[in-house]
Amino acid sequence: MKTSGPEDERSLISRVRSGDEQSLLCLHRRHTPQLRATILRLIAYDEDLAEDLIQTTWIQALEGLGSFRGESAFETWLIRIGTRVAFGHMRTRRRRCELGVRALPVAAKPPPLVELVAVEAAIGRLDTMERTVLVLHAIEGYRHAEIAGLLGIAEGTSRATLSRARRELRWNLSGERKPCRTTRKSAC
Amino acid sequence: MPNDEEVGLLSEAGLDDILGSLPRRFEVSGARRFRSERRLSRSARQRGLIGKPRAWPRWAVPIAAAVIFVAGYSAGSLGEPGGDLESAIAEARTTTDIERRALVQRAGTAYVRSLNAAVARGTQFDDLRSQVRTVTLAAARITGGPARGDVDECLVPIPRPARAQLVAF
Repeated sequence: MKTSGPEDERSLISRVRSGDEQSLLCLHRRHTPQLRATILRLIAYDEDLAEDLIQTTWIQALEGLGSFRGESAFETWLIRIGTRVAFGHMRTRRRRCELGVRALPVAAKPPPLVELVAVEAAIGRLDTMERTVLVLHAIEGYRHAEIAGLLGIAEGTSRATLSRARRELRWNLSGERKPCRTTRKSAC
Repeated sequence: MPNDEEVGLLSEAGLDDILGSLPRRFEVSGARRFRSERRLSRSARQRGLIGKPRAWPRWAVPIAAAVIFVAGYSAGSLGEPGGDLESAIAEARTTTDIERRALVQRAGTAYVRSLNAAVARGTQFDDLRSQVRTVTLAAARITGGPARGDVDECLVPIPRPARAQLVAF
């Protein structure tokens, strides 16, 4: 099914509301790649877990489709649900996944592979909160007020966390060993 | 204190460039996508979120209206007496299948049990407003929603025969 444009999207959503499976699968094909990218980054690239969280996100989206009024793009609304699902999972599990080569995502138009691997790996090594704020702000384009609302933190905390995450990431990508005065953990 | 570049730290602008170049979408293989779609279809079907809509029993609209009504009462959004119930009924009538499913799900089996009990006691469900009133009162008993008097204030006049039966209920 060839689809594009907001009119088409509204029509698809309307058909899904009335229980049309093909329209659901069409929406799923269209929006899951971005949802996957966001969730994978948030959970540090555990692909099996990402698949579970993507499923949970879609089911929650379907259950709440009646409340979607089209004030934002469907994808924005979906990714917001996905972010809540992923962050909720991380908050309960508090686990930190190590990035393995197996878990590296396949991009539709991959940038130079070495760079992609290095950057995604460096993001994966951030701690949960730093990674979440960085992904939401620097990659997904959320404002600090929105992040604060989503994660249940103060706006200032979001700003401070982003600043820490960026500095950590710059060190990681520089391949330099951090001086002890800048580390918060026993990395030195 | 040495600046960032002197200690070999990636610049802020350099970091922005790198983050900006990251892909926004991660595609997967066709086989993996197929598995994911099949899993979603199965889950959604099991939950009644997709698939051929079932015929709605006659109590679906009154229950949905009652839920909307109780929700409005709880949220303190009731306005003119009577008007809100009419709105709730209108809203329930226009809800899509999926929304109505969610409403009935929220209402839970307790509502249905109460309604069945009312039917068993001989309550006639000819008038939609009386149905809603019955279900709302039943819901109120169970959930601690609006009290009987509050419901009465908000209801439009109910036909006398139905009122007599409802008093019995």
